[in-house]
Amino acid sequence: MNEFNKSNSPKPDQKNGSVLSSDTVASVEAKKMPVLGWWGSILLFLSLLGPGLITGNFGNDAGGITTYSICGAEFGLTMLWMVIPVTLLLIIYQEMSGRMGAVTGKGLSDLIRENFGIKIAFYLMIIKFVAGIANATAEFGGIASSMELLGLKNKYLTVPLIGIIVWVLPIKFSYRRVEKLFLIGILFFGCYIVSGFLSPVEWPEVGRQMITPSFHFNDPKYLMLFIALVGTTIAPWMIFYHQSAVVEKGIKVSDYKYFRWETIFSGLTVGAVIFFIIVTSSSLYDNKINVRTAQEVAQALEPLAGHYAEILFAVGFLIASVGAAIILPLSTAFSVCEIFGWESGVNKRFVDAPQFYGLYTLQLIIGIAIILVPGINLIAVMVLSQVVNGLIIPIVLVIVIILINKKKIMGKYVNGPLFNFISIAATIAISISAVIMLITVLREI
Amino acid sequence: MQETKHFLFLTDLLGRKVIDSSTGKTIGRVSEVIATPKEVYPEINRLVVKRSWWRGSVDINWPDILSFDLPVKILQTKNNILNPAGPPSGNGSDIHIKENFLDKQIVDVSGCKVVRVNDLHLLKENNKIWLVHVDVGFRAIVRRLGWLPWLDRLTEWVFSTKIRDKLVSWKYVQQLPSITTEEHLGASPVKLKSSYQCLRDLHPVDMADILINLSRNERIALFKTLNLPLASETLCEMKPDVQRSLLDGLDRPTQRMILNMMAPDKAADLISHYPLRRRNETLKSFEPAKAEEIKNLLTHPEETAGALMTTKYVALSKDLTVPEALAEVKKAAPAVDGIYYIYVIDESHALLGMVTLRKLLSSSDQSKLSEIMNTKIVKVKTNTRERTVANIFVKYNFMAIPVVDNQNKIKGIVMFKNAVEKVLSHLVRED
Repeated sequence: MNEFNKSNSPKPDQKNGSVLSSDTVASVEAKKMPVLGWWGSILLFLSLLGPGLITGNFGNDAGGITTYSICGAEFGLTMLWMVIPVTLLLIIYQEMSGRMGAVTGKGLSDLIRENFGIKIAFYLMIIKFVAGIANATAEFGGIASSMELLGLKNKYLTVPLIGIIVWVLPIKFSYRRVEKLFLIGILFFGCYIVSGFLSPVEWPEVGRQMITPSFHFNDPKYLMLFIALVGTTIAPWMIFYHQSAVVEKGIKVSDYKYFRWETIFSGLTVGAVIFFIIVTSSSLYDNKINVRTAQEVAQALEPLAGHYAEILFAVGFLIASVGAAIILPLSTAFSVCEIFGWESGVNKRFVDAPQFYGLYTLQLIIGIAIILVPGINLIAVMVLSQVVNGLIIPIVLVIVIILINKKKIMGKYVNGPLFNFISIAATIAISISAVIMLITVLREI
Repeated sequence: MQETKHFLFLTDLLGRKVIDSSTGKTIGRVSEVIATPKEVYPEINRLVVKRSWWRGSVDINWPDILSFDLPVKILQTKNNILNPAGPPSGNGSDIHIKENFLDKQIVDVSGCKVVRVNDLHLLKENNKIWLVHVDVGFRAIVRRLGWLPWLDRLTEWVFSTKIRDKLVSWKYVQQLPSITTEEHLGASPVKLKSSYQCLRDLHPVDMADILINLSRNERIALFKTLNLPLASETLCEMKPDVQRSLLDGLDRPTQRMILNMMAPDKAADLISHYPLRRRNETLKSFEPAKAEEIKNLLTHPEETAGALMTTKYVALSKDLTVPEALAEVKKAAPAVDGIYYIYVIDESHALLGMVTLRKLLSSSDQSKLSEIMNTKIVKVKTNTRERTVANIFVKYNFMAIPVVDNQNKIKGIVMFKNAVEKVLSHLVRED
């Protein structure tokens, strides 16, 4: 038994010949302990931490932060009730896409192609590409706004410049590092939580609004924000991304019950971020501040950072935007290439994966071009891009529901009746709201 | 009789209306094409025609279909085929072409690649029809979307050429095991091994490449179909985390058999991740000499020369003459990794020097090894870091470096390729 525990500590040796001795006392490789009980479960949970947390929080990109802020700034606490259903939905859909990934070991694009055929897959990819452009536009909007806050007002210079950096980063550096950088950027938005506690918030009122649904059928602004809020929290790309992340992490069905907790945990963190941003931004509503630029959005952080609120906001916003400007278009390019069977991956050379890099570049270029339109309202662009996501998400949700109910794919892991009821009801609700919004907005015009 | 040969695509048939020629009534639309395997190309024997969602589908034998012209618009059947005899009983070897192949991934054995089937290419010869190619090209996608005329016009205008179909002959098509969920994976022995015959001739490196490009479940399922020697060689070509996930998908006895066939250093790498009890169980199942060797390798901490080295080397006593030495080398040759360097040792196995095979062959018969050996040799200790070992290789251009313990006794040699592999895999993993 001791055979494997023998540590070979180097004795002082006679140096003969050109022996290269290393003086470090090498420890025998740590044995893996069998996973046991409560403590073991926690360890396993921590090891599975990642896919949900990363994906969910990538939703808090430039478009997301802006949408939540505007919700608070335009309507005070009245939209706060949406935090609970949106978080619940996020958890349910992440659970479903994660389950599909764990059971099949395949990405969502693959499953769509194999089960719906090329036609549906193709048109879905076109839609997804449009959403990809919308997201890229939002991120470059975020980049332009934060640069403005940092004092670099000339967007015609800053945006293309950062655009080039964005383009080069994943090719020259590692994708994983970009992902980490992005997560650091998102940590900045923990500031909203502190700021929320520091500002004069009437907590009983917050509690009351949390559980009082309100819906303004004839206010196009409200409807658009409603759809944007859904679309940014449960974005189409997130469902694809999450499933791929689960597959890549090699999570197996046998680990899945632990993995569920990861999904719930990460969903709750996302919900908390939405909650606090809306709460802090509602101070803008109370102070009758009309939000037109990021400068006003940043004022929500004043209780925490005072005069430095703008800088704090700008730095966090910039990192989150740059990260998302890389990751979101890349994930779209991945999905499209997966459908067509093209080579993809940032470790490939340009000539080996021309379609992949072409799609990535195209999204960035169009996004930058839209932001460079003179006099464009950046805040409006960022919210509108999330409206696009919100209009597309019902289609993706329907596809997920169909796939996850197929016995041929999922075996015994098909949806239960409760999950089906909630997800179908929610998808119908979102679709109806989207239609109402479209009609109302078109009537206004 | 005039012979007519035409090519057509599976998607030309799918969705086409089928009409009963006696009554002129529509039976339904083609929803599946079924073939039986023949010597080389499968022959299509019947169509599944979907009538409507409440009446279900009906099978129509291919000979009952009247000959048609291309492009296919409508299929007509001979008289009275819809008799209540019921569908012809299919046997187990039927190939459901759409279900099993269209939009699915296959292995293109000629190109050693995993590709997605965009369409299937059929050959119609008089009233027989064969499955001859799969189409994996972009053109097939555009055709199915109905945009082919536009694409052709565009490419003709811009490049004055057409995009060509990318066809892979059926001979080189290897279907993947149709396993999607983990529960299936555990349950059934995937399929007859004979149907994976054409994968047998692949080089392990290509096989590893193909496996990497599959989803986890498919990977394990396909891996299970390989014969043991190919499986173990393929496993050696993969990254450690993939190796582990593949082995975990197999039952314990098979795992042991595969580990037993692998080179000791690779097997040791894998076994080192096992819990202690499982390690011992596994080692017990090996032949004693091999188990001893692996145990030895396992005593060295990871990322040191000791864990990296192989114990298959040639070491000869300093007192041997050249012809004696050559005979020994010849005897050892089949079993050793590095044959070019012959290490010279004394009675206590202490490393004295080294002779290259070239030197040995060109020396006179009277000389002893101790006279012709090179004593200025570079060696490393069992606990030298593997990065240091790699650096030595870069510096000196050796094919192998001997590894000694504290008493200067030779323990093994590190081969150039192993050192490079290890260090490279570290670089790649950081990505």
